[in-house]
Amino acid sequence: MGGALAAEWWKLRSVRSTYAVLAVTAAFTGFVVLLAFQMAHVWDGLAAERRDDLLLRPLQELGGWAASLCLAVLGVVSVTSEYRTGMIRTSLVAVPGRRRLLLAKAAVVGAVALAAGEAVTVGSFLGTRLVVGGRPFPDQQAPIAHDLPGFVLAGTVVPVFALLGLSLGVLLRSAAGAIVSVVFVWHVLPLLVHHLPEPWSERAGSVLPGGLPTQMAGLSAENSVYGDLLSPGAAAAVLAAYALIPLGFAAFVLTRRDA
Amino acid sequence: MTDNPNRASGTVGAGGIGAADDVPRDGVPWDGAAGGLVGRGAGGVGDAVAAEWWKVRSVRSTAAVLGTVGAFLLLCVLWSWYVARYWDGLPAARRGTAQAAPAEQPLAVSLPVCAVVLGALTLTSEYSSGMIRASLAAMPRRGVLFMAKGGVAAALMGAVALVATAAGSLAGAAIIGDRPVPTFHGAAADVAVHLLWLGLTTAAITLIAFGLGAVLRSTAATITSGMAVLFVLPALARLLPSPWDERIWSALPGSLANQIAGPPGSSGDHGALSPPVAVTLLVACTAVALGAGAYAFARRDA
Repeated sequence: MGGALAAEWWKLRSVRSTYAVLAVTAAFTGFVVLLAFQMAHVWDGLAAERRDDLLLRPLQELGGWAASLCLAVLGVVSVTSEYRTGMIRTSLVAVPGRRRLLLAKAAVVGAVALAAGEAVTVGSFLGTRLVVGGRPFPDQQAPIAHDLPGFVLAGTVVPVFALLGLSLGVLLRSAAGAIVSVVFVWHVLPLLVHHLPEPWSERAGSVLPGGLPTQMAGLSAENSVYGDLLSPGAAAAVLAAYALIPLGFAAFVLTRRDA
Repeated sequence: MTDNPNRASGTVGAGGIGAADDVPRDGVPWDGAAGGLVGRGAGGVGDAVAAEWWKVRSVRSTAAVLGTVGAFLLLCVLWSWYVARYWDGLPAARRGTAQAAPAEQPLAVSLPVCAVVLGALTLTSEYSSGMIRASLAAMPRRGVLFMAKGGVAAALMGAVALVATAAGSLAGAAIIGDRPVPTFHGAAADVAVHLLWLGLTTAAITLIAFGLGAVLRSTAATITSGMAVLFVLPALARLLPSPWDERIWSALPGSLANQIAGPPGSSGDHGALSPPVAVTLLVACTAVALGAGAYAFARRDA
């Protein structure tokens, strides 16, 4: 297993797409912090009574949202690029235990995505806080230590999307199909669910992956397309299921199909 | 360049960018009168288009894209049915102010995505499989090959968009019947113009993704960039300082269709651009993407 992990780590480190994805993620986080300067500027120009409506939180959450897509693409191409080039056959000769190969890939991609996700969500939070300084935005009154756990939890959705992308890559073996499917879950499905008739939009919105971290942190889903009907424990279980169930399907298919 | 004037004008007229060799292929001397622009034998524009049409017809991804469009057409029907039910349940006082997205809305959201995928795969799938080398061996005039590919993809996607949105809109009108929901009862001419521009924007987005695919030569990178332009940039633009949020959001390719000809009866905010400006911008985006793609395609080794 150690050798398989080392091999996957080496592969991920040595391809260009990894650096492209991480660079875009970092650039996006930098852009979020830049926008915070703009928000601070707007805050200074606003009359006192209108400042109550200016929220910083939507901006802070944008980093994790975009990182989910970027790392999901990384998960997809970590598999589909091997199918495209035929490298998968070499990989399977080197590591004939197919579950072991998938597990090693998932562990490496998941770890990188978790590190990137935490860096982005915590970085967006601390960076924007630093930029706005002492300005009392209505949703930034709590001390940093109080809000930080929520953003740490928000970072956990990033590896879930990465593993979802990886599983879809194994199942579909096509970069185009897997990326479009991930985008569907990440963006299109929440919008469609939001338009469902009343009790169902909230019910379905509560179990979408993008809305789970806020429920894990026990926050309300006000001003979002998601719902907040789950308890923190149930939300964490559903989030884990989004990563593990597709991975189980992928392992099942990978062990039964010819490469 | 050549001693045959017909041959020379044929090459230039077809937009040939790459090297046009002067040796007639398969031993048949070039006959300007019989061939002309729509050349016969290997190397003709007509053959290039026929070959690309055959390719796009025979790959699984086209069927998947068309299947997706079909699924969203079904969603249009479901949406219209839901609006009809919702309308019947509304008290009379609230009907005057009630808003509902038009029947073709699910298609309007999904067609740009389908266009990006089809436009990107048209070229990038050949790079990933190595088929591009066979294609270039069969059709060495790169400009013609490039235009044939882009033209076939854009024409197919535009036609599919027109047929699907027209079907969705007609089905919606039939399901809503005589309930006076404003977005389902636009004048036929307005609806036709709106749907026509929806189809043309879809074709333009196909061409933009196609040009981007020629520059990037990677399916993953092209589709991800396309999704970023369609979904991430609008969200980002909304966060920019005041006059610029509206301006930049309005100029993004995904927002142009509704500014050229919005859905009749809808009162939503479609953007800051006037229709002629939006059309110009759409044409300019397409031309820039195609130009960059054609340049990269003609100059780089396959």
